[in-house]
Amino acid sequence: MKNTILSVKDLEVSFDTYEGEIKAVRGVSFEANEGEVLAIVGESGCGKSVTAQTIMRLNPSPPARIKSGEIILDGLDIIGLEEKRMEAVRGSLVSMVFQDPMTSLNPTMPVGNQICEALTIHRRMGNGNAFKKAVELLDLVQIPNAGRRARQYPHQYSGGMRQRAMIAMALAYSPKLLILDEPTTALDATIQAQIFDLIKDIQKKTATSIILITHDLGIVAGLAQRIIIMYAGKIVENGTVDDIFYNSKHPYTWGLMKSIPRLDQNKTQALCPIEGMPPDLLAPPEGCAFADRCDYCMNICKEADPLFFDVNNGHKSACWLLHPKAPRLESICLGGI
Amino acid sequence: MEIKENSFDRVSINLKPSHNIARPGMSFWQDAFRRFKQNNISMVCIIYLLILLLGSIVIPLISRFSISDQDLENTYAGFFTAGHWFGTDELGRDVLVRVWFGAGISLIIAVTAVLVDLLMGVAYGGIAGYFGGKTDTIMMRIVDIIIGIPYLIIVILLMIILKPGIITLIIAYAAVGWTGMARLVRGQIIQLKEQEFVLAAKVLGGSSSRIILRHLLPNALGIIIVNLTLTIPSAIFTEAFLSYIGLGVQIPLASLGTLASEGTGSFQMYPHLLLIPAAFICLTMLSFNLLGDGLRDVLDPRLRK
Amino acid sequence: MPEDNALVKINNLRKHFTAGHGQILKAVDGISLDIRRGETLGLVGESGCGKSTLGRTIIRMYEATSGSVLFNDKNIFNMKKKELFHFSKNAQIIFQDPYASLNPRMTISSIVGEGIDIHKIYKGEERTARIYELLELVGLNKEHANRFPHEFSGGQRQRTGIARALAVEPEFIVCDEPISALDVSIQAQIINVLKRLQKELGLTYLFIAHDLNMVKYISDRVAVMYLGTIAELSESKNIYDNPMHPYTQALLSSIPIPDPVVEKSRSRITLKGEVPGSINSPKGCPFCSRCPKVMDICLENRPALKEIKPGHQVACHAAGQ
Repeated sequence: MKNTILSVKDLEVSFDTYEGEIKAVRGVSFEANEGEVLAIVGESGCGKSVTAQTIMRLNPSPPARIKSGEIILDGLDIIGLEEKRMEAVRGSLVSMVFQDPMTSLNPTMPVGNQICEALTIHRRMGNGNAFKKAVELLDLVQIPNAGRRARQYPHQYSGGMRQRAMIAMALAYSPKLLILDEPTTALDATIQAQIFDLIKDIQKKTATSIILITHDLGIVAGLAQRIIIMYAGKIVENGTVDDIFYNSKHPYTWGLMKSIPRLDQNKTQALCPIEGMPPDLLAPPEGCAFADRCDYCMNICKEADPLFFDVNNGHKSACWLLHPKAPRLESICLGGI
Repeated sequence: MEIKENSFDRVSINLKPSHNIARPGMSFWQDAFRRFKQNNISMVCIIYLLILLLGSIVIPLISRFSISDQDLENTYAGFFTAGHWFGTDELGRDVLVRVWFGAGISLIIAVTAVLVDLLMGVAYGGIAGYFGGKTDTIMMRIVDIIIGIPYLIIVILLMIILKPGIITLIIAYAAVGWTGMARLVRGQIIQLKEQEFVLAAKVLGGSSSRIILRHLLPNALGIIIVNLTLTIPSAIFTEAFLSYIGLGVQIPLASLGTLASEGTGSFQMYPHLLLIPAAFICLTMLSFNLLGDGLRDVLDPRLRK
Repeated sequence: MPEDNALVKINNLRKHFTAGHGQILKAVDGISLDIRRGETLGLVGESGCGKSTLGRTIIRMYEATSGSVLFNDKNIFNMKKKELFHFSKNAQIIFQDPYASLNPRMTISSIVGEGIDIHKIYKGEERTARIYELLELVGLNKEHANRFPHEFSGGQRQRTGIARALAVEPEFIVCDEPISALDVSIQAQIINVLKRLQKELGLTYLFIAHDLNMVKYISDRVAVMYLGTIAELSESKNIYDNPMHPYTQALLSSIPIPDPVVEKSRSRITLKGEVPGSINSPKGCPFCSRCPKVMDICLENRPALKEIKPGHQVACHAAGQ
């Protein structure tokens, strides 16, 4: 039985804009275990980035507002923590790597110095030692000539290297939890592959827990052990990687799987996108948020938000199709095939 | 939540995908106007400026005193004496009428500054920015030279040729006052013309004039409007200052600057003669500045939330 | 094989940019290929390889540094103003960024109608009817005509961009990464629209993208680009089933496959190093610094794009040996 490093319960986060309250996260609960890669998958606007930023209390507060819920990280109550203590937690206990490596690094400081900053803030290492450790970290993320590279500026690094530098900074304190927010989306295919291998490598070497946020099911298949699928601010399905790819029980997950052409897809068939658009989170619908895009929508789906139904060991899906009274579906398109 | 008989019946699928847009359509300007109304300070400024405008037109018309009538029996009168609400100055002239007339002069200057900036500044900057290359370089070097010549020098030189007065001020502004706007518009246009929607119009075969008028200028309008409301206070102050030192508006016309100048002499004994015009100058400048801030919050696309 | 049905003939095209300090950025460096009438030619490559530049140059958004592009057998770089105006009715472009490619101050109807107005195709009621027709064609409807871009989602904006391009009734459309900025499920919607329109209207596409899955699905032939040159060109099935250029092989192996069992068992070709800048490109083959099969000749001699097998062209000294 693995230890739980992070436990999120009933998290609700809203943004107060001049147009009204945008309910970005509407009751999300999940756990991350030690040494595991948990993927949070969903499209833009589903609330995955907001959830991740809330774990680190990075949301600008107005306009963001944590309405309710609980986040326990390594025994600490994150929501209730004062800002000063939260500063100590960020970077040391939990760390985050953002999507766009171009804008995450300070263009006026050499990369090595930026990593040092991370080191000296928390551990008050002397500058000499900090720089040595910075070079070691750059080495860990497989940047060649780490010693020379540490003195260079971000504009002298390529996109892939900058992302590695960000990962190095995030690992400076061997955090127990590393959050990667779309780490490869802004990178080229061949560089994505390199970062992918790097993440695998780091996980093996350091046993850090990783939360991987992405919309790319391919990356998830190769890296994650457990997956959470989010839609319109809620979790719709949650299970192991095999559960989700081979035994998925939610129409949205099926839709996602179907809309990606496989390399062996027949060209004369049209792709099966999910028609329509996600709901407006200013006024989320009463029932299931996916109801009006769902091929299997029933009356109850429009009236009430579905409960989580257990499929088996830890595999849960929020769909009325799983209610004992719901009709059986003979040929359901299973994910990944 | 109760489970009914038909709870699990399939709902008929809409064949047409719902491309719903929940909120009613609003153009950029309608949306901006709506948000502008919510800004209380800006609304107060608008009201003040409207009062100023109305007052400067109406009061000199309906008052029984003109700006140069001398009521020699009631010189240096205090407030509300002998029908003079704001009192009189050393020659018995009614301060109320003169101050509102002066406010009107300031507003005329404001309008002139706007027109010059629009007609010359926007056009000049727009052309330089759009055509780029050598055209741009030459046009901007000319602007650099013009900026190097102080407005004051131009005014003084012009006064040697023409008579001092409000027309001279206007001509001087037309000669050199538009350079700030030109630079701003040029910068905006340069940034905008690389945007994909402009490229799309070019690929469709759009002519230069179509691109400038329909694509570039409307998108630069927000910044232009904000800049206009911020250059007005500076123009007003410059006129007041020049009139104060005698280079601007001449007798018998009254401007807030000349009034302030006349009031300086008797400040110790009759402070209201200086304070009232000074207060009008300050409030008017402040109003335009705050208005400009409010407009920028509403029109600057980068600040939109 | 007769190439008479080539709509676009690109011949030794070069587009160089000056990059300060006397350096030259060779974005497109000697490309020759044909785009056949009615086909979709996919163009893949990583960022900086010059695919967008190529797409834009062949419709004369940029002037060529050297070489020619024949459209219906007329060289577009020799065209004068009038001919060019006419050319803009024949060749159009769809951009990547749905947020920047529509004028925020114009209604959807004005945006779509702009081409009609510029070329004076319809007026008055006919114009309005045509605009509605175009909107329906891309899967929007009449109610959207008076809306503004900021009220639309990314997918809807992209549809508007497509309608705008179609308004002038072009034969050829350059699709410059039209789906890269969209969510996965919306990408599929847009791809379906593009495919359907191609069938209904007989369009020819140059489809530029970096998502290899989507490119394979929509394209008839695929060209793989690296540092301004074409590395490999063939029918899309061939490229994916039988890639001959080492870069193509590495590119294909880097695509993550959404299937855990397959992912865990595959071995990836990981390239060492990064793409060298197009400023100081190496003398021989552009790929020589990262190629796992590099030989001495590769460093000296740039390989030409040759037909190794029927219908399959490769620019590599190691291929076909």
